Amino acid sequence: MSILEVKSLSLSFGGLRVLNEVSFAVEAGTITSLVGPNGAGKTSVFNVISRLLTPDAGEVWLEGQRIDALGPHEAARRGLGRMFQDPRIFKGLSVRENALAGARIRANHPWHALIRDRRTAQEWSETETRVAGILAEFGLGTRLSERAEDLSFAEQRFLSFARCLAGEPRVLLLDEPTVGLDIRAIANFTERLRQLVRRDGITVLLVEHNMDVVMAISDCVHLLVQGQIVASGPTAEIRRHARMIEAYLGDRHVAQGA
Amino acid sequence: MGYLVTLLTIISIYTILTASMDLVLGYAGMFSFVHAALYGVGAYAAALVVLKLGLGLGAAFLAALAVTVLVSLVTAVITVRLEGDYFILGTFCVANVISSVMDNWTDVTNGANGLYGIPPAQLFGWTIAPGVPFLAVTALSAAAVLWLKHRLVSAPFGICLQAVREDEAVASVLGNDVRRVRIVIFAIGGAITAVAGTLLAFYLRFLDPTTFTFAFTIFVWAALFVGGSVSTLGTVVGPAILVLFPEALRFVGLSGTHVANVQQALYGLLLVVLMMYRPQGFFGRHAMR
Amino acid sequence: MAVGFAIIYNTTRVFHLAHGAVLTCAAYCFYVTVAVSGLSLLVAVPITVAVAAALGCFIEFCVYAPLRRRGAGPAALMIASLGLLVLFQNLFAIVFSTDIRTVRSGGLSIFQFGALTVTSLHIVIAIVTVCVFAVLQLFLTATKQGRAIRALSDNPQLAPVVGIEVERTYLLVTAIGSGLAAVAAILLTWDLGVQPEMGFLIVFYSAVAVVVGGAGYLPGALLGAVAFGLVQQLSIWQLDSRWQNGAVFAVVLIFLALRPQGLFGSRLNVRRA
Repeated sequence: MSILEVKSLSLSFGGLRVLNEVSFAVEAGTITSLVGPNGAGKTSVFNVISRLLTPDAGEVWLEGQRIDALGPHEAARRGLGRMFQDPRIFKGLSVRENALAGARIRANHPWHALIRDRRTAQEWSETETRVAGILAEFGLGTRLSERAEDLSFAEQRFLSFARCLAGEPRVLLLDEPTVGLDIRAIANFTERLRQLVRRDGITVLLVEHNMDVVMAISDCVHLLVQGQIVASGPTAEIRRHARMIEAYLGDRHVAQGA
Repeated sequence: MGYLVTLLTIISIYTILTASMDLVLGYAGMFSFVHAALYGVGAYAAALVVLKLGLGLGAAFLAALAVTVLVSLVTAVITVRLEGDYFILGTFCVANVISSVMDNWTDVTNGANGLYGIPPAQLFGWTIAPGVPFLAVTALSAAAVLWLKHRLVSAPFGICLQAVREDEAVASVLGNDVRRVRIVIFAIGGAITAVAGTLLAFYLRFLDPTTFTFAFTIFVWAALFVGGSVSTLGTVVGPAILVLFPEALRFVGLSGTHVANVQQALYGLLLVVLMMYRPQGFFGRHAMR
Repeated sequence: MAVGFAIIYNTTRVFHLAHGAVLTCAAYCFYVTVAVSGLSLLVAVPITVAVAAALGCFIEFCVYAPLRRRGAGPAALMIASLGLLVLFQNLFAIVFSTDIRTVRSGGLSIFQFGALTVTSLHIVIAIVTVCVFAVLQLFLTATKQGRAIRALSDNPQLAPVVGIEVERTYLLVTAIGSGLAAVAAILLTWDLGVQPEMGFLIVFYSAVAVVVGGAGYLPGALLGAVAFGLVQQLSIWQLDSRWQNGAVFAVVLIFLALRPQGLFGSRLNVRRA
């Protein structure tokens, strides 16, 4: 059964049809890519799934439950994690605080912040350790008390990824995560993604322009053009699809596969 | 000596207010214009309980707490859904309404004449004498408030608050119910102002509406920015400077009919200069952006 | 006042509370030129408008622009603006004392329209407001600078790209807004006289009017101001006049609770991811 599914999503902004009956499904434990030209509506799809936007019509299903009536924080609490195109780290906070912001624990509530019973304290300290571990895997382990805004762009990217992971999501929405990263960082990143899926069973839905990355790690690809899904399928098949080639005219990978 | 006690008492009360403001404005980023009014609500509630019911400090405080938290919650629920600048205006409107009530509900508040003749604080039958004993109570309350605040914000809750301030959308996809966080912190801020309000009622032994105007909210903002927001030390230093500095001016001989105006003008100038050259104040961890 | 505030807010996104200071300054300037120096109205009015515009530009140039260059955001700008308002208010109090100073020496002719009593000044105010607004709308739609202002307020990121000089346009907008404040100041002073606190309250009323009308839509500011005034007068009529202030703001609050974007509000209040 699909862990994430959108059915007939439609959305208009000020007279402009942004999404037109968009439907696709994502299988659990896979990496799926959503591709398409600029302005196709990919980020809007993400915004609808993560509930920052309400569609005019359509449904969003997460783990067999409808979530399109929930607020973004409720979707997050059900295991949906989302990364944005810009790192959007919290500028006024340190690296450690940024990452910790993603964790959903008892100590987030004022009552438990004041009255720290044993369970709260234990959960908190375990989370600190876990978060420090995630940061270390991204090479930020020694920079916990630095201000987040002092990091380089790539480091901020990784920090926002760590922040997202701190919430232990089961489904990850990543919006163009490799933009601005060099080859090594991209390799590091894709390796981490594969690890997350293999080791922790996380499902990933990816918006990407970098076709190398898409072809290398995706199990499944959906092509979104002008608000409509025009092609869907396993990666091996889709690279030969006519619309794919048309959309990415000149892209050597797709052309090679043709 | 008595002069020093007076100063320290006032500084303690203002520290409590600044701490409350830090939570709402510094940590959560909510520019609330209604703080002075809430302070007034707490003070009046405490005073009324003592004057009309003859009860002591404990009861007065509880009454102030209850009323102020209630008003804070109502205010928050109405204004939190407003965005940014609209929120500020919303709190401004509420402050106006509260001021109007204070001025005009003469049956209860005695209008512009104010409430006078508030007896000294009584706790379990013991009278807390004005002067050093009262200072002790006030200073202890301030310390308690500061401890409470520190405990709240050193936990991940403090991070949640700042996340909501920094980037609402990101904070909500991380699992924070932004609206609820804002309402809750507003209520907590209100509760703390109730502490200050109660203490003020017993300190001045007289209350009138002109104490609780916008000018005072601006004073608290200035105290917060001078000392520095998102900091415990800042919430003590800020009020201290703002109280001591005009007193120092007095010693220099600047007095006469225009003292109040000069002071206020300086607060205004201070805000401008601070924003230009040191937005994080003395000890703040967060620069106003 | 509301329209002046609105045009500055829409374009520069600064919550220009010091607009109130401009009003007060203009009022005092008018007072000084007419009552103290005995200059005729024909001379006093242009001088006042010029002084107001100059003050507005001075604030924009010496305070807001440097702050922006240092990376200050809307919060810091608003705080600075508030600081300026307080500073000026008290400076005026020191120089001119806190009494009300009047300009007009005689009374005003009064007209009756059924239950409504109207002074000649009210009629003048109404006419002036409509004319000024019409001229402003014309300016915004027909001239090059006007279009630049609208472009900048619609899309601050794109405007510089198409060649609109941001700083200069900000100055222009501030000058216009301040000029409008001067007009209001003159009318107010003629009616009620001038005192140091007038700017403070009025700028907040204007801001409320802008909010009620919906930011991003200039005629909204005008309508908001009218609505605000109407509610104020209606509440005097129905309730005890002491409650006037509280009643007006309670109404505004209820309105905002039900319709957070104002009457004609647009993207400025719409949440988008």
